[in-house]
Amino acid sequence: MEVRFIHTADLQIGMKATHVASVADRVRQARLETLERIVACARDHKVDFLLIAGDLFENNTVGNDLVYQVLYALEQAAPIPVYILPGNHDYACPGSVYERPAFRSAPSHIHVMRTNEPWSVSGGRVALLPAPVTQKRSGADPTERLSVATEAHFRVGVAHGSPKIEGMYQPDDHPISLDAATKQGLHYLALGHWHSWMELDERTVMPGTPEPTKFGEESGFAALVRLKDPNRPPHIERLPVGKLGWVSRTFETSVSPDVLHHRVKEWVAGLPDLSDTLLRLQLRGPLTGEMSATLSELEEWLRIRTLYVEIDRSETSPSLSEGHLRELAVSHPFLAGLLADLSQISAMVAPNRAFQLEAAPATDGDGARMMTGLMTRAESARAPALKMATEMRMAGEPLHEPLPSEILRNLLTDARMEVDLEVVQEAIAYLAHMAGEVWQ
Amino acid sequence: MILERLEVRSLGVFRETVAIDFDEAFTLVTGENEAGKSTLFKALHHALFTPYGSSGQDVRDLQPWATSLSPQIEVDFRIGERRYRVTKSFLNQARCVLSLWDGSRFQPFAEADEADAQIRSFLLGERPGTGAAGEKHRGLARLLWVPQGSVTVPELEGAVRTRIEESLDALTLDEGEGRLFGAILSRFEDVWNKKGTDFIKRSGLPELKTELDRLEEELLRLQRVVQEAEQSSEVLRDVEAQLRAEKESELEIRQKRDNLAGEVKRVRDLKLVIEKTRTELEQKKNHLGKLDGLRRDLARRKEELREHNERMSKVLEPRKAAREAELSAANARVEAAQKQLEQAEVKSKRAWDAWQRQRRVSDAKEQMERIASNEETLRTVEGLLVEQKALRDKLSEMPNPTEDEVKEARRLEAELQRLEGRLEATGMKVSFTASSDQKGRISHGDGTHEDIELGVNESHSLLVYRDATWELDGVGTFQFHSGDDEVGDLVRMKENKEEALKSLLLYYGADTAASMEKHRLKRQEVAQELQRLEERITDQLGKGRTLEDVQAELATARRALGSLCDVLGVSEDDLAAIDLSSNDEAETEYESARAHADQARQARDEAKAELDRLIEEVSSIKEEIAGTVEQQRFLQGEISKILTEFGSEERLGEAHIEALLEKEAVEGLLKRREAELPQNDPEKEYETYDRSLDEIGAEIGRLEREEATLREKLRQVADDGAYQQLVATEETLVQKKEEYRQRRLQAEAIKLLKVLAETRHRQVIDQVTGPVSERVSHYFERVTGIVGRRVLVDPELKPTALAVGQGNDVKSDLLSTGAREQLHLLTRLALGRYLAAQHGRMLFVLDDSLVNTDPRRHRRFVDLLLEASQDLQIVLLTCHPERYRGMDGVKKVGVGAVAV
Repeated sequence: MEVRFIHTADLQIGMKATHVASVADRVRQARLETLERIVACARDHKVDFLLIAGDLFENNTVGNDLVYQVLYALEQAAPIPVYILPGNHDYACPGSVYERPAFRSAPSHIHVMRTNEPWSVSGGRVALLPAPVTQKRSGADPTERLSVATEAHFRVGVAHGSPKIEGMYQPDDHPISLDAATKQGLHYLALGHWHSWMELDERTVMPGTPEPTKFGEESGFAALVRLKDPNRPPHIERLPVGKLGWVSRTFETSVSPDVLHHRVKEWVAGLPDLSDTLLRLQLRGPLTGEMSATLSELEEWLRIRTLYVEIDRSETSPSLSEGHLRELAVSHPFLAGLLADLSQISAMVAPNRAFQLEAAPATDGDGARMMTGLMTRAESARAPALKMATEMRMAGEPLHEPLPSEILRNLLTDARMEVDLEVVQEAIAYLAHMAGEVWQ
Repeated sequence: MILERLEVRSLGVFRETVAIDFDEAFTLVTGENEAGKSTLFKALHHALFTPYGSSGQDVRDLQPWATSLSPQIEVDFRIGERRYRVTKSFLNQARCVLSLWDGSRFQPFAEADEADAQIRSFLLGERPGTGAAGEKHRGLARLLWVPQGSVTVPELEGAVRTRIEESLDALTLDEGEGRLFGAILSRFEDVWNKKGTDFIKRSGLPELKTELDRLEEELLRLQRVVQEAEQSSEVLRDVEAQLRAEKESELEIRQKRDNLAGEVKRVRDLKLVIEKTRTELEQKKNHLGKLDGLRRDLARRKEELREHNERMSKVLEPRKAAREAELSAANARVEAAQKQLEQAEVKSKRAWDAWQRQRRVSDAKEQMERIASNEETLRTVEGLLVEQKALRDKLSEMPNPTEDEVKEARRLEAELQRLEGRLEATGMKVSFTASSDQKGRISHGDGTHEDIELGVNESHSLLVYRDATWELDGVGTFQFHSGDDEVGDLVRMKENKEEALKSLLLYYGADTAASMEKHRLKRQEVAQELQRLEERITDQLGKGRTLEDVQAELATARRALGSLCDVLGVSEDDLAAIDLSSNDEAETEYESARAHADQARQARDEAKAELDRLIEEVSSIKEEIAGTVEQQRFLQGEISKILTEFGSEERLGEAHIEALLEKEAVEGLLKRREAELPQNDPEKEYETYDRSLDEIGAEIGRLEREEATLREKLRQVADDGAYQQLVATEETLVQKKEEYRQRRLQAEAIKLLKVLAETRHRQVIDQVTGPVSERVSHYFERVTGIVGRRVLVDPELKPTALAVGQGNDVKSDLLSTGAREQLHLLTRLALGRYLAAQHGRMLFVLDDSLVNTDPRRHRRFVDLLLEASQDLQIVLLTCHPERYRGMDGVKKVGVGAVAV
């Protein structure tokens, strides 16, 4: 008769979510709900036991209210026994969360594996061999501490740490040998610690966090493990248990704002449970004022439909080569001058990502009028103080031309400003906004 | 606009019609003060800008003084090719007509308000409210028509400003751009302080920053709390391990200690018994000691008593008898010595008396000798004293000329002799020797007379000086006369000297100086004799001894002698008979008697001392005997006391033996019991274990307390939900940080826009001010002749400063009145020429400006005006025609002349 159990880890109840701080409470709440769902799965699949391979809690100092909430969720599993391994976040020690009165008086089906002592489970068919974490950091392979008890039919190791995959682990982060299951003669090695689903071999599974913690994780699963024959690898199934969707997609901005608008809406329409979804739009390409305005509008539209929206503009470069602002600038030299200056500054502060003023406007317009018109050559020659005056008038540059970078640098120095591209971008957006108000 | 003709009537000083025709280029209107130049200037303004219906004070002021005439103005002017005429009258005949020249005459084409509006528009004027058009409404005229006194460039607004900018071909902000600029500035002011250095409170940014700081602090605190909890957990792990170890160790020691308990009890009981036995032994020993003492006391007392008895009978009593016998013998010796002493003293007294008498006789004899000697001295001295008195009397009677007085007398005598010699030589001496008795009288010239009687052969000499007569009775009279006056003087001198000598000699009873000397010597001799006598007296008396002393001594000696005689019982006469040779014998006798007596006294004293010693000895022996008797009595008492307690000496001995045996028995018991004690004291070991247990107990207590504290701490952290707080705080912080970053970014962006927009705005402004500044600088250089200065013009196109080289600006209001006036006029002129260049020739009026300008600059200024008249129609009103002399080809109009 087969032995069935659910293997999960890294629920990290009480986790902080500063990267999505505005919805952090919801993100945290979702983790508890996920635990409830795992318990429900356990009941649905009529498992023999539920195994949590470390980091049930985010920290040993989480509040008692959270402890009670977790225990309440786990109580729902009864009579299915629950085996909890302390992880690096909730490691076993005198002040550990598992030493709280709440745990000491927990229902009898909830077990905390505080030591290496093996547990006989499932009527003695399974020996659970735990390697609890007892300190935050350690360079020792926890699987080497596993007990060698052999009475049981199936030997299931439980450990929490980093698989020793080159370049992916820290030596003091509880490193686990990649062939630990074989070495220890295990039928299954239940791991915890990393957040994405990972099957190290046919008997070793890192199920990842059952509730995603950020964009780009392959997470939201629990492992349903079936042990039938000690001589054959276990049957492993990925149960989707995650509550919130963390969805990310890249969009090109070189298209027109309308096209982008359409594409985003189309994409979103295909997503399930928008209200439980966190979105990230990764933009790439030039960013015109109009595109920015469209994006702002889009952001608002998404915000009321989804849990969270993040628009990443870090791979865009501002562009002024077209759009309403540019058109306005053709007939308004003052505005043209400002844009030219902003362009010049962007080139000064970020030569690689500077935006360009392509296609200079026609020189026969008002903006191209020269300023030296009324002063004759003879008069200029006669005035020795002219140099300063000329500087004051920016060397007779037409209004739409950018000021010389030397003058701009002096201006910024005088104003004690340290301008970066972001400021310039913001200034352009501001300008576009105000221009829109002024000229409707 | 070109002004062609101005005609006024019933206006100010002009009651009659006055008309001026203007040159197209330059017209100089001259006239004295009060001639009406400025009235004409005003009339021009009113004609063009004041609504004809206006009746304000300005307009009423136009009426000739004390009249109610309607002021009338007619202006002909040209704009481009068109010629216009304004005909305007105010107050009771108010009307306005604008006519256009049709080639033959002026045809009215607008009237009243319409005409007013049309006229105003020619110079961009605006419609005023009521009354005369104020400065503000006069459009270009405000700039180009320079009134008396105020030459400052006026505010240039609206259409005028636009017209100038057009003329300068300057780019300006259109309305939208202006709003954009305004919006940027306004956004900036919503966030930043003026300088753009700090956020203002209203922006909410400072508050947000404070909140951020607070959150960061709170986060740090919570991080510390969580970290401490982790550390506490580690410590707790150690504490628990220690506690376990200590408890194990406690258990082990307790076991060992409890095993020892039975043995400890046995030893403790045994010790108590031993202690009791020791006490008993002590008591036995004490009792034995007491009996020993008693026995020793009894023996000692008996021995002492025996010794005392023996001493009494063998020593003390025989010694007492012997000493008492010696005592009576010594007594007899003392009495014999006393008798001998008394006899020796009687003898000694007798010898003393004899010797004393001898000595008194000798004294009396001495006194008698002294009396005789003193009586002799007394006699001699009394004789000498008589002699002395006689000599003193003699001396006092003798004349006593001094040596100096003698010398004086001698000098006088010599002088007289010399005078007489001179008289003889000088005067006339008459000598007469009588051959018969003659009687006669000589009368001297000085009235003195001298009777002369001469016997035979007697002669008389007469010394004649001056006049003298010598009558000889019966013979006749000789009359003498000497002619020499000196003789008289000599005679008087001689008489004086004679007088002096005479009185001197007379005083000492001498007739000549020589006798006077003799007197002196004689007196000296007597004085010496007296001295010698006195010396003798002194010798007799002895030095320092007076006659009285001698007499006193004599009296004393007599008294002494008397008393001695009385004592001796003899008379003075008997004394002499007494022999004094036995005197020394008496003395020797006395001395030997006295020595004998001294020996006798010594012998007696020695005998007496021996007697006293014996008495003392006997008394001491008696005392010793009394003490011994007392001691014997005491010892007997003591002995009988001891014997009474025990009945008998034998009984005492028995009790002693008994006590000795008891003591030995107890001693044996003690030794046996002590032997039962074990070598090592189990109680000490037990106590060591106890102490260890106490220490371990204390350590366990301490560890348990620490454990409790740590658990409490951890419980507290859990109860507080410190981690949840930390998470919430950090999330809020991240949000707020992002908000702050966003808002800061916006603030920086708006600041950047503001800096750029301002710069660009300045650039726009500079397009207008730049050329104006250039041109005014150029004009100013021409007027002042000073090269290299630049006139700075503000955005309002007012000259603000004079730049002298770079960075040396002189503010316009720091310049002299003249220079300031010039700068403003030149600015107006420059702007006028810019306008004219774009819009054709324009009227430029100057009403007696440049009053503060020196003649040189004035000349250059006029040159500039002449040049400007190429494109401006210049009308210059002045009361200083002499300043404009030699301006050929310039139309000159005299206002006073016109008025006539």
